[in-house]
Parts: sequence; structure tokens; C-alpha cells
Amino acid sequence: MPSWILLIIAFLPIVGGALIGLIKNNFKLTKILSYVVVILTSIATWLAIFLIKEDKFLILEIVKNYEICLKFDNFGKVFAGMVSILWPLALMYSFGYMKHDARKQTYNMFYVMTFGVVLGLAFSENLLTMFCFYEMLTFITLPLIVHPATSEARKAGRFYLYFSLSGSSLSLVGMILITSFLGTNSFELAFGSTASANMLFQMGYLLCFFGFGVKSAIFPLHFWLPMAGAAPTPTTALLHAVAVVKAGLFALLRVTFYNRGAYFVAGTAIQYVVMIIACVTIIYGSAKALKEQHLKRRFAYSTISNLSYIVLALSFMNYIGLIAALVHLVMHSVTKICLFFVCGEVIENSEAKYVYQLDGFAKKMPLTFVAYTLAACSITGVPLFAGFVSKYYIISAGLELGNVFSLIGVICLILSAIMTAVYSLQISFKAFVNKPNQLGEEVYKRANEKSKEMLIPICVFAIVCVILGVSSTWFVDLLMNLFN
Amino acid sequence: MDFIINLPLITIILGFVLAVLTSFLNEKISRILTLCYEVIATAFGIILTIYTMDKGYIEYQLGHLTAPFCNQIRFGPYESLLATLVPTVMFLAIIAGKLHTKRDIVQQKEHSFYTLLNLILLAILSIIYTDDIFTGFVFLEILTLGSIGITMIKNHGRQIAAALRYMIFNLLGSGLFLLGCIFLYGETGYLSMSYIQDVVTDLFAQGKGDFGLVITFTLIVTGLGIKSGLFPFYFWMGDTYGGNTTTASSVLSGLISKGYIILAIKMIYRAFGIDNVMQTELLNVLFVLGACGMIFGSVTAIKQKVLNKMVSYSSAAQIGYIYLGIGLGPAGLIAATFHIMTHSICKSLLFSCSNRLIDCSGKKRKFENLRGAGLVDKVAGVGFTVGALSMVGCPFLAGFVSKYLFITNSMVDISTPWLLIRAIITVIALLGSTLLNTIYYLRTVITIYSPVKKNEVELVRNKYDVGFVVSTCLFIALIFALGLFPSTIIEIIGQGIGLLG
Repeated sequence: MPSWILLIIAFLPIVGGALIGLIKNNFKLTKILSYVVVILTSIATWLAIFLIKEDKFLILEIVKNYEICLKFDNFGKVFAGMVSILWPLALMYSFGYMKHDARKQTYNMFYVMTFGVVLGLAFSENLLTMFCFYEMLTFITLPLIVHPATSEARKAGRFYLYFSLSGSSLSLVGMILITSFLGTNSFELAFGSTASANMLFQMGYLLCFFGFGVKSAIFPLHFWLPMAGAAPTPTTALLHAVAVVKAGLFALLRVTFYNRGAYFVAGTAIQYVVMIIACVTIIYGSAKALKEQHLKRRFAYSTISNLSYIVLALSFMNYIGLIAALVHLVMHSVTKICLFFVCGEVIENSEAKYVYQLDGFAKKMPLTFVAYTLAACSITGVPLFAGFVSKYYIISAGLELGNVFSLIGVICLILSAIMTAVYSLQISFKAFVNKPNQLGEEVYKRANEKSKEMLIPICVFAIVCVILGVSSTWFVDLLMNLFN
Repeated sequence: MDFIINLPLITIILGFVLAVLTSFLNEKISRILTLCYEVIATAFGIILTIYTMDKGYIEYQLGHLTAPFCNQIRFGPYESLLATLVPTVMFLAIIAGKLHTKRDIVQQKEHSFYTLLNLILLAILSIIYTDDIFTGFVFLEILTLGSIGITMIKNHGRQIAAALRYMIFNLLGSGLFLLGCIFLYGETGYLSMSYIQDVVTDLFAQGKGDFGLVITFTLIVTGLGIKSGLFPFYFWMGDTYGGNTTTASSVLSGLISKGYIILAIKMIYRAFGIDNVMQTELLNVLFVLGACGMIFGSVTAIKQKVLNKMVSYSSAAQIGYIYLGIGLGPAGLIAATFHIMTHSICKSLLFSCSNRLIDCSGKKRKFENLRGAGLVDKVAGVGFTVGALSMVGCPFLAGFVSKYLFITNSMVDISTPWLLIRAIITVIALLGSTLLNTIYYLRTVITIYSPVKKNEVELVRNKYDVGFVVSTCLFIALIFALGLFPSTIIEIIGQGIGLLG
């Protein structure tokens, strides 16, 4: 399979989505076509994963050393593979959730288009191409966030833009510094710290870290993420679990492991800065989640802390760190998308927005809350669940590096796990054990799980959490083989 | 001798002829003639660019004597490229604003609007081509008169006040420039730029180039800075650019301010000589003022409650970018020139689209009335979005390349502490300005695309206008072309700057 196919795969949902947006007043047709486009793209992506040759497809050279170029390497394959499994299910959920929305047509259009942009991100051959798709992602997810058209949603959208675009200008400067130092910005896997540290490169790396860190919600730059909860739940699920924050992490991993970040930065002060920021974010996110009573915001903070697990893993800048980061990237996606879908179902059906309203809900929504409990166990890191595997590898990566900062990181991780257990399993406890109380009386009456379109993705992801937890060796071995 | 080298003079003379003709023909014929003139000038510009890329710069004497005893035209790729840009943008601005021109200007006066536009174009072209500071001054004044004319052509109270304010600043600028020219003539004894540069270089070599020449440089650049709206002289921009009819707004902010900047660039590179200027602090002052303009212009734009004024004050920020680039020296001039192109295209697009959006809301200019306007007038909405994204520096659009050029070219040489600080200031100013741009432009984009309930706001459907659609498409195409294939343009600019000195 030649590489130019990648361009077609990436643009299939973008163009398809835009064309679907032109259909008026026939939502059934829209639905069918959206499924067709998304599933076709997913299949094509998986075919490409197995069949494509690893060669470059140069689209154009903007200026010297800055090319728009596609290539499907192993790292991109992991990301694209994950995204293309999650997307069709997310689409299905989105149809269920948005059933009663007046402008679902427009919403659906952007939902499909975002898929293409995320795939483009995975297909990028160099930093510039990735940067371009990264910017496109910001703009294309904006309509999804401001969709409810309330002043709250508009504010969330504005902040999302301000943060994201300031971040991407930082990473633009970083990219220029890195490129001018390396003479190229093509991706190439590199570890170790044999080279002498260079001030210019380190600055570039740090700028890229903070720039892409905006989307990965590292501590001082995370404010947009809880705010973006104003968006419809399929969007938040997408933002939190699949597309946006993972794109940020994907970019961070690329810069660290594929643009000589680990090569030049490991062992310097910059590495410790990154580690400390990750630790602070982990503790901060978990603590805020513990305190938060708003259902969606609680999981937003949970996402913030979990993303920094990955940042912590990459900050170790060793081989195990890369594997651990990737494992957690996948595990967290599956788990968090499940958690958010549960939130969305609860919110859409019963209009319960706060944790204290959920007493006794399991009676009305048994399957949902069983699935929730499985996902909650996974995010806590209970053995035999997906989250355990990734935490295990992050900790072993930290122990392998074995300096003071990495040990602090490991301690933070364990502390955070305890807090996670409290804030996530508390909800299960409330739903299963407590009796419906006065605060939740109104919403309790409305609770139901009739919508199959919402229930199926939830159950599927919960089961996947368990399967990945029970037999994870094949997956980790696969990753280790890919990046050996 | 090729015939091609006559083209600059032919363009200028053609402009004079048309300016006279349009002053008594009716408005329709005037418009067609003016549009034809823009097309011809664009075509000549392209031919000259290709020709000079091949042959280097051309010196063209008017009359039989040789310089310095005659009036000389001198052009290379740099001049030719700019001479292509200006008529192109003006052409598109005219067809974009045709309906508004008809609406805003009394019918009896409409043909004189085209007379003024012709004068403006020929003045800018003359400024671009000339090699004589006094000719430069003459056309500067023609440009000033033309611009004041189109500022007040709407014949509305606020516009006349704006025109008066604009005139005061402009004439102050012209006065300073003239004073500078007189000093320069007194000090060097020439009016021809090449000869002035030789004498200035001699004076600097002899160590006599300290006080008098520095004052002269400062007067000239300050004069042109005031005219183009350099920080802190930008507070007249709001009504002058914003309240006007579409074509006038586009031309004023997109082209006329650039005309002054181009003259400043020519004075620095041709008359003073960049090596001499580098020995003074002039460029550093321009750099600092440009950086301040980038931030303060944007802050002023954020404070505006009216769409047009916001777009106008954003020009102050963009002019800041350009002066910052000039202040970075020859490498930065590439970025500055590219940004001149980017900004004139984007700003014209933004003005034409924002005026259409304002029409949608029943001519209410405040932001809260614009909600949903982009959904009613789709072309204007898309145009505004693309222009705004380009201003913010979204990849694949022209603004991204400018931003890239500013960053890279500020880092070409960071060997001394001041150069390093300069690079850092550039980056910080760019980042700050990008954030501020994002705030005011994309806030507007969100506003115009927020759907409204039926009875909440009255939105008027605009009359369909082919000219507007065509020009918006062409503007967008130009923005994408500059964003995707900038290497040729950058090469032309680079080569042209090499030939300037």
C-alpha cells in the first residue's frame, strides 16, 4: 500500500463530514452516511496499519526544512489504531445523546470531521505537519464545545481557544528552535543522553513542552479543561478520552522521544522541571477531583491527574517510560471514555449533575452502574483491571531511573491512586448502597437506561477494561516489539 | 534597451490620464476605467517582477541628462513585487465594496471617488518606483490629499471629524518629512537617493555622521511613522478606517499606510544606506516602538465595542509587526515585507466582510447585534473567519508564514547580548500579540456563528453581490497561496532586498 493512501484516509472523514453537513432535514440519511464514513475510515486505518509501507509522502515544502509530509510509523499506528476503534462507538453514543438536539446536524458534521484531523495527527511525518493538524484540531473541536450556545459554553469555547492558541504559539517557537538546531524536524526514535546539552535546544524543548502541555492539561495551563465540561457529553468524552488531550500527549511524546528530546534533555534540569510539573499536576488533579461535587467536573479533574501520569512516564525519558506512557494512553482512553459516557447517560436521562444526587441510582440503571464500577476499578488501578497494568509500568519505569525526583513521582502516583479510589468508587457506593434521598428525588424518578445507543458503547468499553486488565501481556509485548 | 523598462513610467502616466478622465466621466465608466487600470498595473507589475528577477535592478532616467541632474526611476524585484500587490488589492477592494460605494456616496460624487483612487494608486506606485526624495515628497502629498479625500467622501459628521483628525496627523507627518528632506539636501547636496547614500557613507566614514544626520533620519522616519500609524500615533485610526465605506477602509488601512512604510523602507535602504543606519540607534527605536505597537494596538482593539473599529485598531498592531521587522535589520525586512503583503490582503478582506456582517444586523455595529450574522451571510462569515485565522497565524494561511519569518529572522544572529534580548523581545511580543489577536478576532468569530432565537435579534438578509463573492474568494485564494507556497515570494523579497542597497 503506497503512502499517499494516508492522505485519502485522513481526508475521507473531513470531506465526508463536510458533505454530510450539507444534507438538510433528513437525519436518518445523515446517520447512515456518518456510520458509513466513520467505519470505512476505521477499516482503512486498520488495513493501513498492517499493509502500508513505511515511506514518506511529501505533500509540499512550505519553506526550507519545513515540509508537509505523511508517514505511518509504529508510534502513529498505536495512536491511530486506538482512535479508530474508539470513534465508531463514540459516534454511536453521540447519536443517542444528541437525539433531542435541534442542531444535531451541524454537531454531527464536526464530530465526523474531527476524526480525520486526529488521524492526520497520527500520520504526520514531522513536527510541522503534526503542528498543523494540531492547530486544525483546535479549530474543528471549537464548534463542538460552543454547541449548546449558552453563555457558559461560549465562555468555555473562548477559554479553550485562548489557552490552546497561546500554547501552540509557544510550541511554534519551540519547533523553530528545535528545527534550527537539528536542521530537520522529521521524527526519529532516539534515547540516551550522550550528546552535550545545548541551551537553544533545551529552550525549544521546554517551549514545546509548555505549548503542547496546554492540551495535555499540565498544572498551570489546565483551566480550560474543567470549563469545557459545558459542552455536550460526547464532546467532553471525546476531548477527555480520545482526541484533544491525547493529541496533546501524543505531541509531547513525539517531541520527547522522536525529536531528540530524550536525547538532549535527559539528565538535565529541564527533565526535573518536567517531572516536578507532572507530580504537582497529579496531586492537584486528584485532590480537586476529590473535592468536586459536579459530576462532569470531577472526572475532568480526574483526567488532569491521569494525563500527568503519562507526562510523568515520559519525563523518565527511558525505554520503559515510553512503553508505560503508551500503555497508559490506551488504558486511560478506554476507561475514561466509559466513565464519561456513564456521566452523559445519567445527565441526559435524569438531569442529575451532582454526585450527591446519585444515591440509589443503581436500582434504575443497573447495567450502567455495573459498567461504571468496572471502569472505576480500572482507573483506580485495582489488579486485574486495565489501569493496574499501566500504573505498574509507570512505577517500574520510575524505579528503573531511580533518582530522587523519579521516586517522588512514584510516591505521588501511589497517593493519587488512593485519592482516585475514594472519588471514583464513592459514586458506586452511593449508587448501589444508599437509598434515594431527598436531594435526588426529582432526578431519581427520571433515571432510566432505555437508550441502547448509549448503553452499548458503555458496556463494550467496560468489558474492554476488564479484558485488557486480565490479559495485558500480549499488548505490552506487542508495544515492546514495536519500539525495540 | 528593452521596452519593458518603460512600463513603470507608463503606469504612472496612465494613472494621471485616468485621474483627469474620471473627474468628468460618469461613475460607471469611471469605475470600469479604474478597474482596467488596476488590471494593467498588476500585469505590468508581474512582468516587471519576472524581468527584474532575471536582469537585476534597472535605473531609468527621465530626460536626456543622467542622474543626479535628472529625475530617476529605479526598480528591482522588491519594487516590482510591491507594485504588483498594490493594484491587485485595490482591484479586489473596489469590486468588494461596489454596493457600499453606491450606498454611502452621493451619486454626483461617486466618479470623484474613483479619481481619488486613481491618484492614490499612482502615488503609491510612484513612491515605490522613484529614486528621488523630492519626487517622493510630491507623491507623498498627493497620497495624503487622496487619502483625506476618501476619508471624508462618505459626507457624514463623524467621518468629517475623522478626516480632520487624520489630516492634522498627516500634515504633521508630511511637515517632518519635508524638514528632513531639506536637511538631507543641505547636508549632502543631492536629491537622488543613490548619490545621497554615497555622501552619507562618506560622512560616516569621516566620523561626521553623528548629530545632524541622526536628526535628519529621525525626522524623516518619524514623519512617515506618524502617517502610517506607528505607536504611539495610532489613536486616529478608529473612525478613519472603521467608519468609512468599504473600499475606502480597505484602501486606507491596507494600502495607504503601506505606501508610507514603503517610503520609509526606501529612505532607510536607498537614501541613508542600511550600514550607516545600523551605526545609529534608529532601527532599535523602530524595533521597540513596533513591539509596543503590537501590544498596545491589540489592547486598544480589545477595548472596542464596535466591530469596524476593532478591525481598524488591529491595524495598529499589524503596523507594529512591520516596524518591528524593519527594526530587525535586513533579515527582518523580509518578514516585514511579507507581512506588508499579508496584512494588506487580510485587512481588506476583513473590512469588506465585516461591513457585510454589519449590514446583516441592520447596520448596528455593536458586537451583541452581530450574533448569528455569519449564519445569514455565509460568504462574509467564511471570509471573516479566514481573515481572522490568518491574523492569528493558523497554519496554511499567510499569517502563519509571517509569524514564522519574524521568529526565524529575529534569531539569525544572536551573538551579542542586545541581539539576544532583541530576539527574546520579538518572540514575547509575537506571543503576546497572538494571544490578544486570538482574543478579539476569534471572540468575534464565535459571536457571528452563535445561533440566535428567532425573535431575539432582527437579522437582515443581504443583497446578493457577485463582486463581493468573487473578491472574497480571490482574497481567500491569495491568503492560501501565500500560506502554502511562500518560498517564491520569499525568494523574490530576499533577492530584491539585496538589490535595494
